[in-house]
Amino acid sequence: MAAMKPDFRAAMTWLHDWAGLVTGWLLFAIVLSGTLSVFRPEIGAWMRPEVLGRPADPIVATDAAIRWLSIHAARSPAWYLDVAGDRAPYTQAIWAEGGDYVQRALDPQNGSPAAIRDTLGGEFFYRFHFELQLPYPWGRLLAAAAAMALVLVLLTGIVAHRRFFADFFTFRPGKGQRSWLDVHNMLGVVALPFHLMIAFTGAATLANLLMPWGIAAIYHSDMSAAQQDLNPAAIDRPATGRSGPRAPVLPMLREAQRRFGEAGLERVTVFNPGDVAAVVTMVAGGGDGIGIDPHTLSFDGTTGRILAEHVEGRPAVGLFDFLYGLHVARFAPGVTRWLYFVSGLMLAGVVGSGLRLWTIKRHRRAPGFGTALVERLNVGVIAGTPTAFAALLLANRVLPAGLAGRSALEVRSVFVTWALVLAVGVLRAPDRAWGELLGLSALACLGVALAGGLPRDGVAQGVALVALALACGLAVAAWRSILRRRDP
Amino acid sequence: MSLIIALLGLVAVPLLALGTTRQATDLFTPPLDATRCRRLRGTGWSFLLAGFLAVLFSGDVARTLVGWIGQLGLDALVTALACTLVRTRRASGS
Repeated sequence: MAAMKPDFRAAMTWLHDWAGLVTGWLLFAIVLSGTLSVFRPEIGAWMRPEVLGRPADPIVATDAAIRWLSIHAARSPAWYLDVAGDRAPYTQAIWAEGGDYVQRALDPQNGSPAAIRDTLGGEFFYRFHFELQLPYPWGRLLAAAAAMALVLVLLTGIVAHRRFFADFFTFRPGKGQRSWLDVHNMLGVVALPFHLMIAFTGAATLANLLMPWGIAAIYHSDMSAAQQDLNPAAIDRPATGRSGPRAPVLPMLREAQRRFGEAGLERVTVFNPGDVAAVVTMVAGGGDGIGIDPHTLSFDGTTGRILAEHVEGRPAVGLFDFLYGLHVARFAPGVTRWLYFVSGLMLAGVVGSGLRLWTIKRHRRAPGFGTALVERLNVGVIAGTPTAFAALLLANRVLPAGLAGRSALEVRSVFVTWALVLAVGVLRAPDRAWGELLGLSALACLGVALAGGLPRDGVAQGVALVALALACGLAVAAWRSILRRRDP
Repeated sequence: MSLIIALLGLVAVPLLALGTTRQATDLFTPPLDATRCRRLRGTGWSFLLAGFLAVLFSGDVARTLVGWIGQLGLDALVTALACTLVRTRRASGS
C-alpha cells in the first residue's frame, strides 16, 4: 500500500499537468469570459450609454417592446424578451428577420431600438463562455469537455500539489519556479470551494451534451417532448397560418407580476405572434432561492386567458435548477457577485500560472520545439485574451453609433485582435513578448477605463475602476517581465 | 446577522494562517511553539465553526453560505498577501 502512494500521486500529477495543458488555453478564455459574465447586464448597460442610468419600469418597458415588435417584427415566429430591470435599463429582444435572428436592446419608453447603438454588450461574454462563437453544438461540446476537464484538473491537482495545505498562506516572490508554484497553489487553494463548485456546476449544466443517452433513451431524441416535461407550462402550439386578434399584453404582465410577487418578471416569450395560436409565456426571476425558472405562466395570445401555470417543485428538476443557478449567480446580491468576480479572476490566475509553470518545468527537463511552441502560445493566450476582450469595449466606443452591422464589427474586432496578438506571441521571442503583450493588455484596459469619459453613475464608475485595477495589475506584470529580461 | 458571520470569518482566517507551522516560523522571532500554534489553530477553527453555525441559523442558508465561502476565499488571499508583505519586510530588514 505504501509503495502504491507515490505511483498514484505521480499518475495524478501526470494527469493534472497534461489535462491542464491540453485544455488550459481554452479554459483560460472560458473562465475569463465567464468571470466578466457575472456583470453581463452592467457591461451591457455600459456599452449602451444612450440608456445608461435611465430608470426602467419592467412592465412598461415590456409592453412598449411588444407593441414595437407587433409592428416591426410581426412575421417573426417568436419574440424572446429579457425584461428590463435595475441592472439593465432596456429590454433585450431577439426576433427573426430575413431568415436570420436579430438581437437588439429596445428603448424602455417607446420599445424602439433606433436610439440605442447596435451591440451585443455583455451578452458576447456570456455566449462566448459556453458557445465559444462556434456553431451549435460544437462550441457547447467543447465548453462541456473543458468543464469536465476542469473538474478533473482540480481534483488531480489536490493530490498532485500535496504540500499546498502546509504552504496555504505562503507566497515567496522573486524565486522563479517556486514563486509560480506558490501563486498557483495560493490562488487554487484560497478559493478551492468556489473553483470546485463552478467547475462541477458548469459540467452539470452542459452534461446532457456529453451524455445524451438518457434523453435519447426516454424521449427517443424528441427534444420538444423533453422540454415539455421539464417545463409543463411552456405551451408548444404550432402556428395555424390564420391571423387572430392580439390580446393586450399589459393585463397579462400585471397578472404575471401579481403571481410572481417578489421574484419579479424575468423573461417573456411570444410564440406565433399575430396567429390564432399565439402564446405568451412569462418566466419569473429567481425569488428567494438560488435556483432559476421556478415559476412559469402561459397565456393565450388572442384572448389573454391563462393556459398553464407551473411552479417547480420536483426535486430532480429543482436540483438541476439549483446547480445551474449556483453557476450563473443570478440569485446573487451585489457583494456576492463581486466575490464571484474576484474568485473567477483567481481561477483564471490558477489556469494562467499553471500554464506558465508547465513551460518553466519543461524548459529545465525537456527543452525543445514543443516546449518553445507552448511557451509562445502561452504568451499569446494569457496576455492576449484580456487585450482581445478589452477590444470589444474599445470598439464599442470607437465605432460610430449608427454604423450598420456594428455589433458584428465589434465581435470581429475581438477575434482580429486575438489573432494579431497570438501571431505576435508566436513570432516574438517569449522573454520580449511577455513584457510587450502584457503592456499592451494594460494599455487596452486603461483605454477602457478612459473610454467612458468621466464616470457619472455607478455602472460607469464600476467599469472604469475594474478596468483601471486590471490595467495596474497588468502593467506591474509587464514591468516585472521587462526587468527580468534586462536582469535575468 | 450577516455582519456577525462576516466578522467571524474575518477573525478565523488570520488565526488559522498564524497557526500554520510555516507562518509561525517565518513571521515570529522566536518562532511560535507548537502549543501556541495549536491554540491559534483551535481558536481559528472555533470561530469558523461558530460562523458556520451562524450561517445555519441565518434566514437564507444557501445564499449566505455561498457568500460566506466567497468571503473566506478573499480573506485567505488578503491574509496570504499580508503574510508575504511581513515576510518580505523582515527579510529585507526594514
